[in-house]
Amino acid sequence: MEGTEEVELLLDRAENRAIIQLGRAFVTRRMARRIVDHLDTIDADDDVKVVVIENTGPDLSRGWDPDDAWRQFIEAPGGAVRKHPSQRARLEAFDESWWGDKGLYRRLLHCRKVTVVKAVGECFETGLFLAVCADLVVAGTGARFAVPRWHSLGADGDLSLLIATVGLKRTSELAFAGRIWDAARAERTGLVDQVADDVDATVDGLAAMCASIMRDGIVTEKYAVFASLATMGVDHSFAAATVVGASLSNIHHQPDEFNFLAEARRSGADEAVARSRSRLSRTEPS
Amino acid sequence: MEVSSAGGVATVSVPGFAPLSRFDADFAWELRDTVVALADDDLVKVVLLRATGADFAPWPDGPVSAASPPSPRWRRVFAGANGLYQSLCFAKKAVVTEVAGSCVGAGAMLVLCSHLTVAADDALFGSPFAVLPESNFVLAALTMRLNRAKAWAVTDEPLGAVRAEEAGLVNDVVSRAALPEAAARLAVDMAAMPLDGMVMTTMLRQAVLDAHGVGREFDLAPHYASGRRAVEG
Repeated sequence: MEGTEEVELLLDRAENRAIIQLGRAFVTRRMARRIVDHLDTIDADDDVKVVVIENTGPDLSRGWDPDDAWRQFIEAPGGAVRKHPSQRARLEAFDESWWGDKGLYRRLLHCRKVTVVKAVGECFETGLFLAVCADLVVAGTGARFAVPRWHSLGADGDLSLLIATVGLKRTSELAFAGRIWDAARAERTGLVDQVADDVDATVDGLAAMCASIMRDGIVTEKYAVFASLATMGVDHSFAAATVVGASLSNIHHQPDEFNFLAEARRSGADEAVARSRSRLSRTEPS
Repeated sequence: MEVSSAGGVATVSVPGFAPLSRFDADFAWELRDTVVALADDDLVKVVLLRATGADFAPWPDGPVSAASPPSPRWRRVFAGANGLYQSLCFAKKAVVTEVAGSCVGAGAMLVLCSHLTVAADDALFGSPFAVLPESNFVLAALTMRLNRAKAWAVTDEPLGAVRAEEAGLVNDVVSRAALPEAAARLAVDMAAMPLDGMVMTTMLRQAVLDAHGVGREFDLAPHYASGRRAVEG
């Protein structure tokens, strides 16, 4: 997997903005933790009003790093006691890195600053949920959104926010049908706010506009959003995502079903990812 | 009612679903039993509902059944927790509706309760809210968003296929000639998901529907039926 696990935080206090830059497209737990740490730093900095999340490469996120996806269960407490990671280890892994109190998505959702995602290239899995959890999303014309893992496994992430964002049946396209959405469809469904030819300039302009809003106004609006999220039962849904995700990591595949882990053992992670993605392209709407 | 099954997809074919709009309880119960049995079958991952006639669910000819609201039988067959619509909505397998032509009353409810919908470009979707007390507005709001669901319910203006797709009521719009193949292809693609994954994904979706009060809205159907009777009375 190319790139570095480093996640850089660039602060521009004079412009009241911060940038979180991902160094690689296959996302690891370490990167998720670094993003959370940076969001903590940003929330504590009164000079920052808006944060942009972007990748230094051509893709926002190509999904979970396949090796780290399995290691997260083994390295969780109780994960290496037996040959297969325990259920408690799987639950803790999903909670700790992704959906729980310290997880990436909950932390981004509850950031007190305006959050903007620059969605370019593949915005798969983590990329799609960064878009769902951010306040504003600008997509490049070549952006594509999907959760490829779901078609090989089942939906192991939050559906509540996704349904609130794009609607029930459109969520089913991603959850059941393995669809890849291009930028235009993502905009029509409400997943992204804007599609831009010059995504850098558009994000820059949007961040400048957000940075012109008075601090108290931003934080007041954000707490109003947090209240709505609580009413919508997002905490409940994130907890359900943890339970279902942990269970789906331990499912029994039928003989004719694509098994990513078995494929990775047989042919290597790159080949397994390629095969997993090739199954998706057939389901792209014409 | 004919059922065929291959490659994890069970197709339920009927001439049309209009009998549901005149509260034909026998038809509804047979459909309900069929879907429940298929959802319990480990060889089935996706249930495809298909009308072989020109229209998916036109407004029905003939008298309204004795099982009309607010009769106890209507409550059990149409509005109850084990009735047709909740059995579809909370099915353990994904349900796909294949819609051509007129789709009013119960047809629109089948679309709302199904997971995905493929429509022919001549499909026309009438709001079920004025005619069926068991209609579920929460489902409509989750599917189309509140503003569009309100407009559909209040104006009673039917939605053409393209507008229905724009509103989120329909996933794909194709020509009528291409409809059966497009719906079948979607169902086959969905059936590539592991069986365990399919069941757990539908259960995760159910948790969201529960949290948003879809079940409670179904529970209010007798109240809506009584209210409608009073207005008509």
